[in-house]
Amino acid sequence: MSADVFDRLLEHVLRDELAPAAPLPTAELATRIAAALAGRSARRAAVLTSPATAARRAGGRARRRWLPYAIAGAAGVAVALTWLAAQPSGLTCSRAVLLATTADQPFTAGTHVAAPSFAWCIGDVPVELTGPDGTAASAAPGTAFVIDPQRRSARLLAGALELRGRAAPWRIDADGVGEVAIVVADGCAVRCILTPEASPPTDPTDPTMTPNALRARLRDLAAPATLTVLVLAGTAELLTAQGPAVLPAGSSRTIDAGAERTAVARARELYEQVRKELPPANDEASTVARKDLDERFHELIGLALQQPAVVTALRPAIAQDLAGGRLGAEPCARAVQLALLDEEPRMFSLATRAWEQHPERFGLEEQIALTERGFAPARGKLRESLAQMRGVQVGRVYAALAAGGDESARPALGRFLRADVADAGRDIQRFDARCYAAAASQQLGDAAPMRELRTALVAQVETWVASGDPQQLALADSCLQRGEYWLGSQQPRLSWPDVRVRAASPQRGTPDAASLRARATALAAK
Amino acid sequence: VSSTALQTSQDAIAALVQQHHAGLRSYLRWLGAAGDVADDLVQDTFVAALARPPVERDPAATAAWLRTVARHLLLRQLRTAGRRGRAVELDEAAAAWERHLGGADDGEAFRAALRACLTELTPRQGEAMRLRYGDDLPVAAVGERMGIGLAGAETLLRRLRAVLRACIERRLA
Repeated sequence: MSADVFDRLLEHVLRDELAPAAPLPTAELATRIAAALAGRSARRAAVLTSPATAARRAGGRARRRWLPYAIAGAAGVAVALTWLAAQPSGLTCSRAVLLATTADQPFTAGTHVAAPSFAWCIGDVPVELTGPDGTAASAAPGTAFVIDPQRRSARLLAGALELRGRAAPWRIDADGVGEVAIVVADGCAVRCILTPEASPPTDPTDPTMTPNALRARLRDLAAPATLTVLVLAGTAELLTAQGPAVLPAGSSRTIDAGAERTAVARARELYEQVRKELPPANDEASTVARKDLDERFHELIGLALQQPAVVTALRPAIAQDLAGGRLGAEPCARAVQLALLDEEPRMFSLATRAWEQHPERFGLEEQIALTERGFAPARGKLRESLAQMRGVQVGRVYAALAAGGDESARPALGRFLRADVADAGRDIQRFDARCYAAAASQQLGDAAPMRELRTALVAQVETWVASGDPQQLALADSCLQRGEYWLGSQQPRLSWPDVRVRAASPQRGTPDAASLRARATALAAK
Repeated sequence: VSSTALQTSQDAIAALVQQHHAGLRSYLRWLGAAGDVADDLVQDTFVAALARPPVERDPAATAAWLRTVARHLLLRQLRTAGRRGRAVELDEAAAAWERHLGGADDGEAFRAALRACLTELTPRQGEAMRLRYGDDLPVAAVGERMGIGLAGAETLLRRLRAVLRACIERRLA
């Protein structure tokens, strides 16, 4: 073994260790494999290859030890066929499309999709697909997708696919946009458009064209993928790394994989800047530099809260910095804040270790972040600081204490939960305090305050909107924005609430009655 | 009954994929497959493997068998693409993998030794490693961040790899 080859191997393993790549999610890969195997089984049933031939093809020589497994495999095929026969008879196409049941099988024209298949809609007019249960899909010219009528799933590879669900839900996802899926329930209709829409330039009559070749040509287009989901009827559910989101009729959502890549690159660059210590602000230049750094840090936090991929990408560097303990006080505080915005337990543990070394570096927000996740030393300090607090800030501290397991703080939540949503116009902080208390109650297993808050907010928004007063509309917008975070997040957190609310609900311009009503309806449906 | 059998089979697929996905992908990347090609080949490897179940093996032997299937698939793809010259290079790379990472523990001892050795580096050395291999910065950029020139960064990284090699070999001995 030459030192050179070892060196390269070492470099490879170092990259694996220090910057693990994000491969296809294992669960998704397993599903794809199962689908491919089901397709093979169905295809092979007609031309069942002898075990010896299969072995020759695989390794160039017959292997008798495969025989029992081949027999078992044949039995498996029979079971699979029985199962497939019991299922509805797939989807019928309005005209011929190119179909292939495995990724390495050449496309052939067909009008019926019975097994999991790659489908490619060639020609100039859309193809309608209909199922025996009333499910209907429409694929635009050039659209390529994988569809499994039995599993009721579709994966968009290129183009635009419209699906009207009937009976059991369908699930649609798309190549190149990460872990995103749309659940299309009975009565719901969605249009999914994967851009670039252009179909790969190729000859559809090429007899050797396979789904793998099609994918390779799509990759050659090398454009960042954007998935746009438009809900035409009913209510669809969008599943992302941030959790599920309900999309009512008329709403649309764009998932931009290119934006994610850009955000990760920008975040890496920003982190390199914010982890450096700046000299004290003694003159104008250093004051400007500090202000600039603060802005960059806020930009970084916004990226981390909006793009889960950013958190994942920064995690190794932050972990190494916190574990190394070599950062200065201010960069360390920034790294701790980023670690506390991450839900990964290892990052929380690193933040608690930083507390053990320098508890004096932890401000109120950090204390709240540690307390609400049950870190007892911070809880003690936060309880002590209650004595110096006034106003509704107390509400958030009680909420964090209660959420973190301090039973004595729980009764205090009651008075904040009684705040009337209608009073938000006079004091929005009272509304905030109710949100904090409801979030803490939910974390303690009591979902009723959240439900009541949702009902009260939706009703109050209607009252504000009906008034037509621009100030009331602005108030409704502000409360809805808060509600979209507190009621829409899987696990709302009490630390840095303003930043989290802003990140969860981007600015939409001047609010109008129609958009506010649509948002309230979406919130009610969550 | 059919549905239960199918579910069991899917559970078995999921278990196999869970156990070998990362290792197989890393192996294909090591052999020179691009990320997306590696993803495709990992899927093809599992499909090919599961369509022709192997004799019962322990996890290490299964991993070795999957690597063989994956290597053949990659070779086939290289031949299709007319890149025959890469086969020798690929064999050498595969041999290096088997020597250091293809043991009974699927390379975990090697990786554990590497992790331990990384903690032994000085902060500055660790920073250089993180910048080069964690953030994937070019050597020149690493030099710039470390306040040294390109040649200095190359020397530093080469020495660090030598230090790591010695440390790994000591720990594995």
